[in-house]
Amino acid sequence: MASKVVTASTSPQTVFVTPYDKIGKITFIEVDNRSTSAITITIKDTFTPFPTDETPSPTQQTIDRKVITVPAGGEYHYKTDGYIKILGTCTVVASVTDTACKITICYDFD
Amino acid sequence: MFRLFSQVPELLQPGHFVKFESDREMFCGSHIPANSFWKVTITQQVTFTRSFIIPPGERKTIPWDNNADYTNYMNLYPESLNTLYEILVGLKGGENILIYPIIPSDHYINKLESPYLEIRVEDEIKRQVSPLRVYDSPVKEPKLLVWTVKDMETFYTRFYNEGSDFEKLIMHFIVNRCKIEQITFEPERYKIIQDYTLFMKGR
Repeated sequence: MASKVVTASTSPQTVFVTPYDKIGKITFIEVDNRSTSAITITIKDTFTPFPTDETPSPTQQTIDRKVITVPAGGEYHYKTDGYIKILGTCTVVASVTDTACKITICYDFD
Repeated sequence: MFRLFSQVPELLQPGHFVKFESDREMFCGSHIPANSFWKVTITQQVTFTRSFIIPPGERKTIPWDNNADYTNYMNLYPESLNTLYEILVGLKGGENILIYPIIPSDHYINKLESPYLEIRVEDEIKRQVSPLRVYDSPVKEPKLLVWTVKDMETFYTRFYNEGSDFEKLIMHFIVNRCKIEQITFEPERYKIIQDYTLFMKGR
């Protein structure tokens, strides 16, 4: 299992890229918000589907997998047991940019 | 051709024999005479993995033969006349993806005899006839075997995502490349590889 810490930013922060032959699984999320304001964190999954009969020229998709709001000075711990699956690139986007808010994502590949 | 076993099947080894059983002149339209016997002389195992992200409610049909468009073709047919591919298929992810073997391009191989249950993925009941799911041949215990030879009619798999979210199906292939040579006698023990037309007649 691996983990990565990113700081809150309104631009997407890449946590990991799921390999072609694997499915990413988020196992644990921790948010330590030492900011003076509440922050909303969104975990996103970005991938391009395979061409299908119905959609022969697919476009890149970005799906919100988890949204968390943490109050000012608050902490958030969440053990997911791997049920948040990531098919492509996992990114984290925050409602504000603030280096006082740290987000830790633990993940694995299946 | 295609067969789902109840347990992990043994792969062919040098010295094993196979019979290509068919009710046509040639096995699956290839160069191999029907009901001929062949000896495996050399084997080599090659692994290969493909993955497919399928949107909910959508389908994709993938041919298994060879083509420069390797994204949309499996490229799992031999190029040599004396090669048999015995392909063990393990599945992972994609719990809501239904997988159908098809040959020719729009004919489902596995079906029931009732004329009222012709497979149609658009129908929530008719789509439940015969699809494979990941638990039928999991990657850690694969039970699905596909055999291909050069110039065989094109074999397809159709995927249909009946779930409510995008799903990623991972197919892990162990390709047992077998060099084979035809023999003129019937060996005591041999593996039978059946033409799909035998299945069509309910055998």
